[in-house]
Amino acid sequence: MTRQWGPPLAVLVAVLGLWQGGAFHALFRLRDFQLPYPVQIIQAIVDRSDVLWRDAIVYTGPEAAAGLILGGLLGFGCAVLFASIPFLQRGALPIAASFNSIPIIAVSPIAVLWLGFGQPSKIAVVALMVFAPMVVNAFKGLYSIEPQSLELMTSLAASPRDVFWKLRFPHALPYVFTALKVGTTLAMIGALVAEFFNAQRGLGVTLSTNIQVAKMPIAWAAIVVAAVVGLALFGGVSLLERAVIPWHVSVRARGGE
Amino acid sequence: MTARRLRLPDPLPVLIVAGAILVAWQLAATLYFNASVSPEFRDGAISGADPKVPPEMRVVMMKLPLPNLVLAALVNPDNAAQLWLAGLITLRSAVVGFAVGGLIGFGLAVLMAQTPLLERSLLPYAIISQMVPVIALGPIVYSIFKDENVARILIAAYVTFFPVTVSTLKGLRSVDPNALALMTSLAASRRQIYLLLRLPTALPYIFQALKIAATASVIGAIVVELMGAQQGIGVTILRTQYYGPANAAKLWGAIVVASILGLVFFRVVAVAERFATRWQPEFRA
Repeated sequence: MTRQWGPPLAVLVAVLGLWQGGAFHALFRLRDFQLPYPVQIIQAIVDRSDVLWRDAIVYTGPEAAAGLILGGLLGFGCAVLFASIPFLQRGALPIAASFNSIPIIAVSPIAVLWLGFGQPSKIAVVALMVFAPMVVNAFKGLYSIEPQSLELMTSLAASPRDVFWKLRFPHALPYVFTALKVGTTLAMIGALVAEFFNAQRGLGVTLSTNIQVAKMPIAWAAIVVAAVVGLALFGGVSLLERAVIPWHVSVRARGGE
Repeated sequence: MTARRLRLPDPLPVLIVAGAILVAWQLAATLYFNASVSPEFRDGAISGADPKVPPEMRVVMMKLPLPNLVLAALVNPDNAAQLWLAGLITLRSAVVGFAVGGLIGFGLAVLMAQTPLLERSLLPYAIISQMVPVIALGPIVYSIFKDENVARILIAAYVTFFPVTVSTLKGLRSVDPNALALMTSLAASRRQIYLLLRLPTALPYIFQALKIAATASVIGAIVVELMGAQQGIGVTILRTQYYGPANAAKLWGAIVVASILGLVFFRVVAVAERFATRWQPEFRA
């Protein structure tokens, strides 16, 4: 236990110590108001805990989670469509996959025009960001089936429905969870950045207003809280994965450690 | 996945689907425009010059523009500076940050592969950093350095750095034990083992990370711009949005340019991968 956690903890303490001691300020010639000290950030987290956690739990967190679910379902639906229609597989899958390399975040001003300043526009941006990784991964899972398994099922006269639910769907689940895990980070980025310019409440709003008035400790506190929410989302998806696919190698390997 | 990639990509279905999307968009935009803007305001709603146009009609072109007008805005030489030049500024920062972050990430991975203590101390942070919204640091970095180029490059480097470190380390570790045994039995030097075995084994892993990072670095640069900068495609997106319907086509043009940046950078890295790792099964014809 100590062997495992000792070195990373030592690094954390060293970095925080140097930071608090002013080493970074001396190194990069920063003034105190440019880069707050760790103690100030912790103080801000404590002082503003009501606002920060309300932002996180009522606004940013649910936006990220709802967008993740919506984009995930949309992406999975498209993947099923592409896996069952060969023309779409060759024609639409490459286009959906190319969404992966598009900065979707750029459409967040348009989302506000369509859905207003509230949470729906943030959820839409998050859903769009999560969509592409889900299509690509879910398709891979639905499509890359062992030919023998498929032959066995067809030779036993399994209906297409059985092939889907008993073979393709379970095979796709590990890929779906990979996409969801990638998606949690994207979802947090999407929700934060979308809130940053056009929203009423949320961690992104707190971040933006406090940067404008140069209250850097609170801005940093918002980022720390966002990181905690991101980790919680990731942890939630991992727990779900463990519960849904306990038979998969990736889960078993972790349990056996 | 390999089965799909082995076949030469056939451009025809992609072109058909893309064409269908474009036609559907044009139709939907025309219908939406005609349904929401009354006839006497139609010219004004497109040009944005007529102040008598009601606000809900002014915003129609921004919500769903006609693709032909967006295309016209993209090729209009008057917009070249705001669209293409701004895009190049963004791309330049993304590429520089990508290169810096990639080199540091690679170097750190090599060090970690040599020094287990370093790996144990730093790798957990590299992994955790993948789970938290690092990009949100953009505006803070900007507020510290007050230089948008530095901010963009730093964020682009940061988002490149961690995937490259994690993947390179995994690649350096994925060496076939038999190949290693063979090389050591033939008295290969450490350097030879690195150059002839470990590095080639790691290359596919490195490119996997570089492809992710190519997109992420462009997104990182754009996010810094959206959250406060003077130049770049993200700035064009924000400004054209505020200037109202006259800029609707330009706003969407800027979004198209931003998308092209991401796609092109990704493609370039993917082509480089094809040349650098020809031996991979999916690249063998």
